[in-house]
Amino acid sequence: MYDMDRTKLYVYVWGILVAFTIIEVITLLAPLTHTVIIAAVITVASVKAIAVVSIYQHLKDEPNSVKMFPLTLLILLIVFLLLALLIAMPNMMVQ
Amino acid sequence: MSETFSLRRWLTTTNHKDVGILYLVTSFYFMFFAGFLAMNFRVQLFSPNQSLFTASAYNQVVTTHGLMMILWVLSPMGFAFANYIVPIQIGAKDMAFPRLNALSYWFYLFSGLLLVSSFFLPGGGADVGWTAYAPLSTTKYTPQVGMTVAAMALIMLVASITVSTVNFITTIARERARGMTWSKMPLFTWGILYTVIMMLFAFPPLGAGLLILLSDRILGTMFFTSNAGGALLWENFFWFFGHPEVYILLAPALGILFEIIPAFSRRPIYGRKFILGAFALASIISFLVWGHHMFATTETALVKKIFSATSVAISLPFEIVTIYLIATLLRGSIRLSTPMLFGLGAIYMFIIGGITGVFNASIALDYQFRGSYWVVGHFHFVMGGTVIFALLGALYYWFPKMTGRMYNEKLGKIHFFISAIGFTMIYFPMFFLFDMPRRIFTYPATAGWDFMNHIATIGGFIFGSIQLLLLANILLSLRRGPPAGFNPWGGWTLEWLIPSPPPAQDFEVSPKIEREEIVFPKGGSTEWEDVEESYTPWPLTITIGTTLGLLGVAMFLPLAILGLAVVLASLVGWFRDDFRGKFAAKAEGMGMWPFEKISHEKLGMWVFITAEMMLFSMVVSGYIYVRSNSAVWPSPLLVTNILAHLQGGIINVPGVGEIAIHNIVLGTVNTLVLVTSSLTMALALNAIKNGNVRGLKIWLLATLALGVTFMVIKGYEWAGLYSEGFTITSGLPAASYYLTVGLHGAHVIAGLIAIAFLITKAYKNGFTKESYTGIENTGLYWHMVDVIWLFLFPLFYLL
Amino acid sequence: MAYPPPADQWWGLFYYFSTLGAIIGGIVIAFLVLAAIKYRYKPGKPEPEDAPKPGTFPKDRGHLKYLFVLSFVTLSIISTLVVGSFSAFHVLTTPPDKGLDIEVTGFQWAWGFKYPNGVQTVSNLVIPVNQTIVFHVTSSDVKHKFGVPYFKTSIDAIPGQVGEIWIKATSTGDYDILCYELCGVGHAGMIGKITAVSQSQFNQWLENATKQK
Repeated sequence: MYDMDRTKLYVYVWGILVAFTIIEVITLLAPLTHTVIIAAVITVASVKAIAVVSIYQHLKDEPNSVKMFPLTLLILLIVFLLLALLIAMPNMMVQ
Repeated sequence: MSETFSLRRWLTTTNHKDVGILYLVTSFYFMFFAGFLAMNFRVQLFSPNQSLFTASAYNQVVTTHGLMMILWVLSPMGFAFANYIVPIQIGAKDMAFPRLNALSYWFYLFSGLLLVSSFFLPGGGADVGWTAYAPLSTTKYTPQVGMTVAAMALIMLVASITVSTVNFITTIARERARGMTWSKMPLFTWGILYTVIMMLFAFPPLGAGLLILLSDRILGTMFFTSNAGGALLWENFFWFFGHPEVYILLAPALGILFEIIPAFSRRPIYGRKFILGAFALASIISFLVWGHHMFATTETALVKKIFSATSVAISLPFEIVTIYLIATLLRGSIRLSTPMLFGLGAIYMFIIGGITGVFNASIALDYQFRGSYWVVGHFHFVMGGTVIFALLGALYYWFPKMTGRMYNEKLGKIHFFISAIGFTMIYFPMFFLFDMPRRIFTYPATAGWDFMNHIATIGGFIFGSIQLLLLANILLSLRRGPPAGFNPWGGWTLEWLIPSPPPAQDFEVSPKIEREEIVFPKGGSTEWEDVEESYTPWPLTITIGTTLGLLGVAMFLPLAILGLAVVLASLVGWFRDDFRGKFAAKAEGMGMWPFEKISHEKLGMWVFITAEMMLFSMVVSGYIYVRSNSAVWPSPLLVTNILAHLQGGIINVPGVGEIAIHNIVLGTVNTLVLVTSSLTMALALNAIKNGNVRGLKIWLLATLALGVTFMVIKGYEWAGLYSEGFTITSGLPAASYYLTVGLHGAHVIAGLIAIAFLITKAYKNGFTKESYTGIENTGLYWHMVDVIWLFLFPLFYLL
Repeated sequence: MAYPPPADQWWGLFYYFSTLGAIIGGIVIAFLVLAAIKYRYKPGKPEPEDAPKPGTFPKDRGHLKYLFVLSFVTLSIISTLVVGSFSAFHVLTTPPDKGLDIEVTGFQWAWGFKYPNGVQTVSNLVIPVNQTIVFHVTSSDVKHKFGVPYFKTSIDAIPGQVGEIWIKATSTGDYDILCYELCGVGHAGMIGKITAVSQSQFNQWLENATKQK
């Protein structure tokens, strides 16, 4: 039973990963400004990454002392990535 | 096999004390080598217009002196003591990963030898200064292969340090004696813990910078020669590593002072908690000051001011540490033995180095100081003075423990006083030479710099030659020194409660902490297995293979294939090593205080993953940096009707021109393949946790198949790109794509090799419901590779 | 001796830092040495009550209030340093008036100069006294650092980037230009010369140089 629950959870996460990947590509087609697209795509990618880290790498089941370190780093890096992309935006697109 | 002079022992040992001794001897060898180089160029600089060296030879000597002293002497010597002392101080029988510990050492030794050998290659070695500023360090201006080999030596050292980091963090977190809480941990161990945590974040950026430099040098990319990347990109990489590195060198030295000063003043350290807090604060700020090395660049005034403020601010925690060390002396009963003299000497050096450091933090003063001898004087007081004096103090302090014999006190004191005078004579005059540029091989007679250089050179010879007295003292005392006993200094930490030198297993019975006392429980029942002495040749052979491989890539490709073969063969040997009763390995699944719920391997893997995350985020930062500095960058966002161009290709965008975008369909398919392989890997772990070996095999094979599919699609994609002329040398967009995605691909291949190992082991029934560490940790690695791709996909295909 | 701008700013700041550094350094080193001498072991001197005992964790000591006092004193001293150096930095990077613009290009291994009217020289620069000279510094190959030590200012010469500094000679004479960043084997010899002459001599020199162009 434990086994089945877990398998189900893993398959659900996989479904989310697949769906979010498609969403990323579709976002590209949406009539939005570049800033919004970049922010949206990176946010979706980050959600996927956090899902993999916490469920597939079962970080959510680890003791707090172990969990805090990589998770804080990952979130910090995501924030830096978003900031870097958005600050660099004016230069990244032509004219 | 514990004979002192058995060659087999020293080549195949994994015992932390043996490895510590190897580190100590090797770092001393490198110190004398780099010191000898320094004495040579002090002769050259004694007076104007000397001609002992040509400019090129001088630059090589200066570069090697700097690299060697900073990376192959100061840090490893601290880690020699860390290897020897830390496991004992926390009550462990060995490091968490004894074989990885040996691997770290061999990587360190061979990388050093690689650096030394680059001297003798045609065209000479690296001659660009230890900072290797681009674009000078690119092939256009430094064509000699020696520079490539030096960069490879550095990469090898980064690998060695990453492995050490994983090992020390796991050891300190998991192997402490029962009852030794963080608040009771000895301060030297705390110093090492701070060091390795800083290393974990500082060295991957250096690795990333070196990878990009090597890609420029070997593959012909243009990151550091184009204006979009160029000098400032390298400087940001280098100093993001380089400034924390200063505190990485300093932290073990301060840890040593925290042991020596209280032990010899016979009082507990003053303000232990505040010192640890200040230390933590300094470690964090150390990552926010790198820009003060770029006050003279074209960074904006605001950026410079922020970095100036943080750099001034970092003096506060270090001032607290210094004052508290001195406050420890008060009302003590101070024994001025040699270790204490060196400890006090280190504080004296740190006061001078620290105060002159505040000068450098001022942007206005730095407009003159940067690149002058003032800076040389300052950082030698910090790194040379403080760190070397503390390390020499540590050598005298722990010499009786390591050898069982006392050194000669009189010779030690002479050594200290002459060293302190000689050292001050070399570097204090440099504070008056703030007009004299660094790294000039000669200077005109009209400059008026003769007198200060005379004093510095004379001081250099005094300081250099008195080190022979240290050597004599060591050699003499090894044979004739009076027996030291357990505890010659009256220290309180664990290493003083066991014989000198300690037995191979450190402790007969694992120590415990009860209230404020360290006790050895009677009866000898422990949770440790009885460990025989453990020897294995694989760390050494892996290192030899890697060295051959790197030399091959730099000079002669067939050699690289030989190297790869040696590494792979050794890896097979490594994983087939018999663990029973060896390597101080603990039975898996055993609840161990303080991390009952996580194994050695898993914690080590998480530390390693952290390092990998840093490496990739640095490579991606480089990509964002060059992209934001480029006038035009191809992006699907520029294409109005992207739906018609999902297969990528060259598209003409009005107002921009022709841009090449990647195949979004293939990218999406590959993303789906990789996330599916993550699912199958997770299911594989789930299967074996439930004892389902058949399921394990199926899911592992599925993961392997999906991983291979990913690489095949990648190969197909790259072949297409190459046939269209989109090659690694066709500009920065192509170069950053191939480099980042290629680095990721290399990680995929490494993961596939590991999974292939797992499959073979699974077919031999190597995994059971209780024993699945390999599956779990390979899984963690594999998911990390997936997570990285989740970011690379949008960055390179979508945005 | 009067220093020409902007060196006057630099020296003022340097003396302030040095005086403060010497006093604080002197006090702390004296504290260290005197403490080590005063509390040294003498035969018959008893061990302190809380002396380390093998196998026993030492007692923690120290007071939070001293930490606050120490931090407060330090922060007030270093904030004066920050304010002083920011204002000097402002002077160093802000030319007092528009002045004479000189484009400087570092290359392996000399300095090239270009006057506003297009006259170019290598290694030797002639400037008028009592006039602000603004240098726009770049490099055509590797990184160099353009330094004029007499004026206590300098700036990196980076390919693709332009840095700015200024000087104002107050007396005629020759001043050195040195490279402060390792740039290859010619680094030590990358020495240039600034010759400051009177305004009329400068005008004449420029006129001749323009004719020869």
